Amino acid sequence: MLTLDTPESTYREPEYNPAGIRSFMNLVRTTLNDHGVEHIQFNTLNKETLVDAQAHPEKYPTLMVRVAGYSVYFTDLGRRVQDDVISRTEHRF
Amino acid sequence: MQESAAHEVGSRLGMEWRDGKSAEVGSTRRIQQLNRLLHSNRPSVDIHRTRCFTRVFQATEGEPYIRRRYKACAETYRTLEPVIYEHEQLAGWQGNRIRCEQINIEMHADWLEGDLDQMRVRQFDPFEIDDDDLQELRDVHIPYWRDKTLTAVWAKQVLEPLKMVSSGIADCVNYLGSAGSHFIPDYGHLLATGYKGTYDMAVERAAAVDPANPDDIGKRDFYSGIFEVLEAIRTLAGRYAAEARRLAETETGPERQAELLEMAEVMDRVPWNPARTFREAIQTVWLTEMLLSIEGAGPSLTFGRFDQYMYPYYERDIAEGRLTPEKAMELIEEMYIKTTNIPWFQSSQLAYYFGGYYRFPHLGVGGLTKLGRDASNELSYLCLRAMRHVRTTGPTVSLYLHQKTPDELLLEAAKLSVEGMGHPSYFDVETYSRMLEYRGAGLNGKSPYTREQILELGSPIGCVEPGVAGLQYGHTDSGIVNLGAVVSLALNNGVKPAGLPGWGPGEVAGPQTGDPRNFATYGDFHDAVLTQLEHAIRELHAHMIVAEKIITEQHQIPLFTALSRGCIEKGVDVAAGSAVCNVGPTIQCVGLADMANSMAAVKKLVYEDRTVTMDELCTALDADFNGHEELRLKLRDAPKYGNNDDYVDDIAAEVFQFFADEVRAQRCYRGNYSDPAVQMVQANVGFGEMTWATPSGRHAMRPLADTMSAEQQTDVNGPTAASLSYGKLNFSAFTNGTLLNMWISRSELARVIAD
Repeated sequence: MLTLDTPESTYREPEYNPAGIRSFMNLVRTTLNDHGVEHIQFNTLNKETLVDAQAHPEKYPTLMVRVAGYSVYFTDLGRRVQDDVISRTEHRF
Repeated sequence: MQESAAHEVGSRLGMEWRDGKSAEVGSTRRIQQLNRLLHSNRPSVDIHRTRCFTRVFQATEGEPYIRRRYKACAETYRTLEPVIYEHEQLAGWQGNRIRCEQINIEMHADWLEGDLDQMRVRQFDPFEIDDDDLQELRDVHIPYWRDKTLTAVWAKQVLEPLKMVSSGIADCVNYLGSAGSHFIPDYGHLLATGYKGTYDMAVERAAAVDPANPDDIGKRDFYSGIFEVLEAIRTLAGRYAAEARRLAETETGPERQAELLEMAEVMDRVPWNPARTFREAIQTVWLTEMLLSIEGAGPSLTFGRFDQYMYPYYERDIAEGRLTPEKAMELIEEMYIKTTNIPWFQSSQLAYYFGGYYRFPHLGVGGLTKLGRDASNELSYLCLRAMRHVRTTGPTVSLYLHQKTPDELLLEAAKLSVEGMGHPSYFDVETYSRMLEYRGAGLNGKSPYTREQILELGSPIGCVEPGVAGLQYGHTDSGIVNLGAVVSLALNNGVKPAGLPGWGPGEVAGPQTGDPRNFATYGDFHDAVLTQLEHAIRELHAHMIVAEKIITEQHQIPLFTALSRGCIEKGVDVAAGSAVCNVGPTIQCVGLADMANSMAAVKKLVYEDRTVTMDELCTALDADFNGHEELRLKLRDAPKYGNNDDYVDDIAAEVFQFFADEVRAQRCYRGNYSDPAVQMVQANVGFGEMTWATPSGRHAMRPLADTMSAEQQTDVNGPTAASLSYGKLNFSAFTNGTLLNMWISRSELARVIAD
């Protein structure tokens, strides 16, 4: 694993759920390498976060979501597109 | 289109909230400060390019178009203002301010006048513009260009221009507004030879032009234009070097002074000469990306396989002690910030649907070598890790996954996924390689690419469209067919439902396939749907090839040409068809799941179970299910795509294949065949607003399903079942790519809640 010395960085690694990460990697491998799907991309937020961001956008200035093929600040989207992102199916393993 | 004040959203407010320190993130203080600079500036309009184009075109009336275009591009680059900000190491901003767009007046003049007043205050993607510039646009540039844009010229030559921009059934708005787009430069070659290498080759070829040979007509203009454009880029680099030296003279901090002097030395050398170091190489790549974004109006100017063509420089610098991984990552983060800095300039109507300024840059890592071995290296990891630190919307970062890709690299990518930004995208190398084998080649042909070229230089462009660096040119996001509307036409004897907005409500918009109440079998209904679909594809294609012809004649792009293999040798602009593989105009679909689910519901309820009559269905649809909720719930209970249920997945696979074959049967103006895709950003929302109720149980004007994904909330058997459904489609027939969204709950992946 690549280790880097970045003492000034603002980045803090989250506490991962190892079983979930393993399932995620398996899902990607299976969908692409086994089923031959060309491309897949993920939103990995909780629905409550998005719902709260609609109600209190000022609290989420840098919250990003994947719309389709690109990432964008959630607050910058039109309400109908926000609603569509929220209405997609939130999968669990 | 306006949102209510209580729920006000849009980039105008978003930028206010992000202003100041909220986005001050990155692996070093330098990157944090540059990120802050990015977010404390509102996107703005610079009319430098517009002035150059108007000036050159007015001075050359009646001269060949290629001469005028090349001169105008050269003039733009030669006189671009060299701006260097505090903290930066990479030189190059495309405008006189941060987040500045050099509008392509020759594409936008027809709609711009109507949007100018609200440009600064519009809710989605507002742009700042100086009063004087605004007035100059209104008085000088728009009057000169408004009847010369691609859209304006095209509208005079085709049968149904309004239908093709606003019917909601099929449209080519994105094609008409974005010539100069969707391209992966041959960066490996550029880094090895510099622009000087291209210049020298042009000198050699120009000497062989024979004025008595009819094949060489126009080539003198081509070569003299290429010389002028490449010299202009050299001049621009020199002006950056001079500016860096000027700043160094007054700089009091010795560290910053040394950085500025280093920048000056780098700009003295590249992009004209071959790069010798990682630092020089990344500068060449960035300046080129920036210039392409000025030259072309369109999106998806793609970095391609950055970890491959940059690795030789990285490896040598590390070995010789000139570079550390941390320093390389810092440069990559700076390039991500600068890439995000380039906004996409669109009309207010399009900004509502595609808001966020995003211009679809794309950078990928991993994949295979041309000999079929795992290609990943330390830079693959650094490119993914950099995004965790810098957190920019652009570029789209991708992992090209193969069975040979190490799990460690997939884990690095997965950790980026956990960040919740939507980065990275994941691609299957074998599948996009197969798409490239058939790219542009029609139903029975093969593309000109060899397997080695595909493995070495192949990668997705923009969102998901397969391309090969330096060997492919053409628009890959051109036309779109709404499969939901197609189903609707089959249930209305070709008439667009009267309650819909846009072109032609209540008018005949497709073939008269008969009153659906008289369809005796599912086969009759099925055939009516496919007849409508075939007609929509052919009508759209007929309109786009006219635009394609106009582009080849009037929208030449010298820098794209110089960065393509073989075009300088041929002496022909790449837009006119000199690429190794011409592609597009392409056709994509929206609403795949809506069509499959609608057809499955009709098949099951009307013709198999016979629990609903066609008359009841049509009556309920006409009423948008008002008073027919019970029937709607029956339709919702019918089999739905995305649950590994063959009943409906077979239909999805069949219409997917039918669409692919119809599109690949269409021959384009430059001789290639069209390619099918399913990808279009949030078109499912905009097209949904123009689609009546469907037999899938979806209400009128609600969003369609996005891209090739299952319909919202209908994939209820977990991600593996959804994945099995998707895997039934024949991807190699979708030669322009497929996009799949999936949402995995954050609680599954990490314990910490971000934000």
